[in-house]
Amino acid sequence: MKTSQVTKYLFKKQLPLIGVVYLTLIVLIVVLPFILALVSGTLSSFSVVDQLRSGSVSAVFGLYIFVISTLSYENFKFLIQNGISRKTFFEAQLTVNGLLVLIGNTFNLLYGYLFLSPITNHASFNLYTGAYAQYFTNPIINVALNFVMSGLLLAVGSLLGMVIGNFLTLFSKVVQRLILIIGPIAAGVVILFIAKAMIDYRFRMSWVVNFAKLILGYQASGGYNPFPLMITLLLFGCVLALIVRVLFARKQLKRD
Amino acid sequence: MSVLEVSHVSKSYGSKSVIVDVNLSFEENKIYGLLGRNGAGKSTLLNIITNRTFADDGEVKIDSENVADNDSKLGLMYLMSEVDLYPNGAKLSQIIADSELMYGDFDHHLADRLVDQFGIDLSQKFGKLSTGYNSIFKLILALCLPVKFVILDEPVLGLDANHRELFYSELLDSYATNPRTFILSTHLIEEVANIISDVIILDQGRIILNQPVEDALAKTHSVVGPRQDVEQYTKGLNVVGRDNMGNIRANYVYGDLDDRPLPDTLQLSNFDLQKLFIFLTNQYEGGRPNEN
Repeated sequence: MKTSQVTKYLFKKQLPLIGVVYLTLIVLIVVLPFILALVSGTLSSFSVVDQLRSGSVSAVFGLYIFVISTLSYENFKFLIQNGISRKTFFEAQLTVNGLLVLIGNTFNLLYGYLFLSPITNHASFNLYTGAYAQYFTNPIINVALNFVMSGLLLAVGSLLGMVIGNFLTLFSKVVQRLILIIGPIAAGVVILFIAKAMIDYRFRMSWVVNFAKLILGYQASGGYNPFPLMITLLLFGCVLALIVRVLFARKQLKRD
Repeated sequence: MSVLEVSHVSKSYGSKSVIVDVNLSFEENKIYGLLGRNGAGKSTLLNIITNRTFADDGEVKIDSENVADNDSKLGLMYLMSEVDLYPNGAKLSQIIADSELMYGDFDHHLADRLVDQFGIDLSQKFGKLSTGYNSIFKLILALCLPVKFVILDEPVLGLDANHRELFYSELLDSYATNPRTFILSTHLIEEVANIISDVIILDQGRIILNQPVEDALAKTHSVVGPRQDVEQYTKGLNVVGRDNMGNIRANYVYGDLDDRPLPDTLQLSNFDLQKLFIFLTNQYEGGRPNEN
């Protein structure tokens, strides 16, 4: 097995992109609004704190990890050229994505707890601080659980990206484009249909609501328990990882 | 001793059979020529051998171990092909470093010499290479990586005559210094005829010849003389092609001559690999034997 070599190769290739993402984020959240305020003469009403509060670092990193996870065919081409099996590629890619999630999640929480929270008067900065921080009163436990939940969310986002990306690589470019066009349209139609059914026929969604409450850990007292969501994310992540393994095993060079 | 075995491999694209029950064995330290017309299935076969695509049936083994999803066996092969699998934005020096990381070693001494002889700049990006230099770069990788099976699919694509000559000479030199198995898939039969030890001819997905070149050429006979005498002499033999030059006829026979006496009016000699290839691939195409 050459998992360590492949992990090293993929990590070296993908790590610099994290820096690019955060730099872009700073430019978009702080630098660009500052320049616009300067040019438009509204600098007096410009507040860095407000800008930072409105920009979700976790969400942007989640988007980055999702997008980067969808891209695998270029790496597959290089690796199969160099005698690397699909199984090794899968293991290495999973390891690298795990490392990227670990790095990004650590940075996001350090940024949230040590920088954003103090300057925004302890405003919430991610899902956990927004909904689950009241469940435990011990701040250390809260930080630890926030780390686990945010990490699981990013991991599931990454695995979802891998499922979509690797599913698409099974098809030719033409079919891929068709799926990318027809897929969202079909999803939109289904959502519209469900929405219409709910309105027109008073479609009973009580079981959906109850199921959502169960997953999100909603309690009658109004608070949220973080563990049901964490367990759900863990199970969902395992299922996605199995699907990704199957999709990796079916990868082959395309004829187009 | 490493042996690469292809057992009962078949592959179809839609309703078209590209590879049909192919059985082959590549032994260590030989230079094979895999010959076939356009669309014969050569590249598909090589892609299956290196696990780039899947066969519908059959398996590929090295030393009795299936190569599918097997790093230790896949790492014994390097397929240089027309298809570019390297990132276009990567510098050549970076690709070498990454390839070395994957294969665990790289002959830098030989690479430096080849880079110098072919005049290639390793600071260039892969995507910026011309067709010729693209082939040269991949050939350098093929010769310098520590593999037991070097598989070259159309290795001299885009190379000028000087570079082709240099490549063949370096290939033989590399083989002499470090004997290993080479599989050359090419259309340029005359150029490789003196290099290869064994010839495999693939036609419409089927193996129609698989022999040492020497044995195959020993079975080639061109019988030249007056038409009637030639026809009489070659009656019942495996005539794979014919030529007419006025009243003079040349019949090309592939196989044994069964010790029949040769009339004084006829001349007997062997013909070359390219002619054999043309005759055999025309014959098995379902058409009439070649007649000019």
